[in-house]
Amino acid sequence: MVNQGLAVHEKAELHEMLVFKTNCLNKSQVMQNMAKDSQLKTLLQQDIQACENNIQMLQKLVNQ
Amino acid sequence: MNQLANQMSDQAIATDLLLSAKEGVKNCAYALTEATSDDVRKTLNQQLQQAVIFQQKVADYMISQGYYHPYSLNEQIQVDQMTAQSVIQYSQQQQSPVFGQQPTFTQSQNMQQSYQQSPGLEEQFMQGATVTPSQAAGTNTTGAQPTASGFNNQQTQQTTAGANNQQSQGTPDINITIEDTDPTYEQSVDTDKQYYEMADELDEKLFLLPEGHEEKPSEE
Repeated sequence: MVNQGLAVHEKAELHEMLVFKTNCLNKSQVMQNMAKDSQLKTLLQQDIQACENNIQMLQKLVNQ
Repeated sequence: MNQLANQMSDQAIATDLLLSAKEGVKNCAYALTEATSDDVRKTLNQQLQQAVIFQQKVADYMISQGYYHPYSLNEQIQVDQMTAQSVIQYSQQQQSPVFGQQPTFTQSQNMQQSYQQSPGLEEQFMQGATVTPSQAAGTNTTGAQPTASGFNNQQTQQTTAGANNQQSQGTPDINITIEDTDPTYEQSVDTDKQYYEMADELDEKLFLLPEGHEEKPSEE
């Protein structure tokens, strides 16, 4: 498919995803400091890294 | 108490994480259905796979910790009810449940400040209490709406408004404020009874009800 930039609804959804992931990242970072269990901390750390990764990808797409 | 809060917080964090993970899967799948270009589709597909795997991890963790019992509904209900109960208790310790009394915050200074900075509720309550019967009658059903925030007061307003509606032609200008008849209404102790009495007093002053009519709940 020829690259014509993003369709409007596509961009809207990506933006929605971006907001959601940002919120998740924020929350996970706050909760990582509150968590006591080491396993839970690891999970949160994984989530933080995944969120950062996802946000960067989404940003690239939205800015196309 | 502190220990309970600590125990709670891990469970609460895990629950929140699981909810977020579920939501993430749904959001991603929905966004994927809206995707048209290949780049977007590819990226979202990757993220969807990640999200599904992460949700699985969190669910497994919660099962291993005993927070989540997918095979036993009864156990799950018990756990959830205990959680709900302790959260309600904790919440009630944090803020005073009785409306109109000064809140007794002990731990959270921030919350106390935010309460003091926003006196809107209490002011609304005061305004609702001083709506005169003539105003209430004039605005008909909408007259009772401002009192929705002052929960106990609502009954009074509805009673007077309803009574006024019946004979609103005969009683044009009667100004009786509820504040005058009850100086202690701010204490919101045993308010139900007080407001019922006030409503009856008001109705008697307006000659809408015979003295000592049978629906007087104050004589229980």
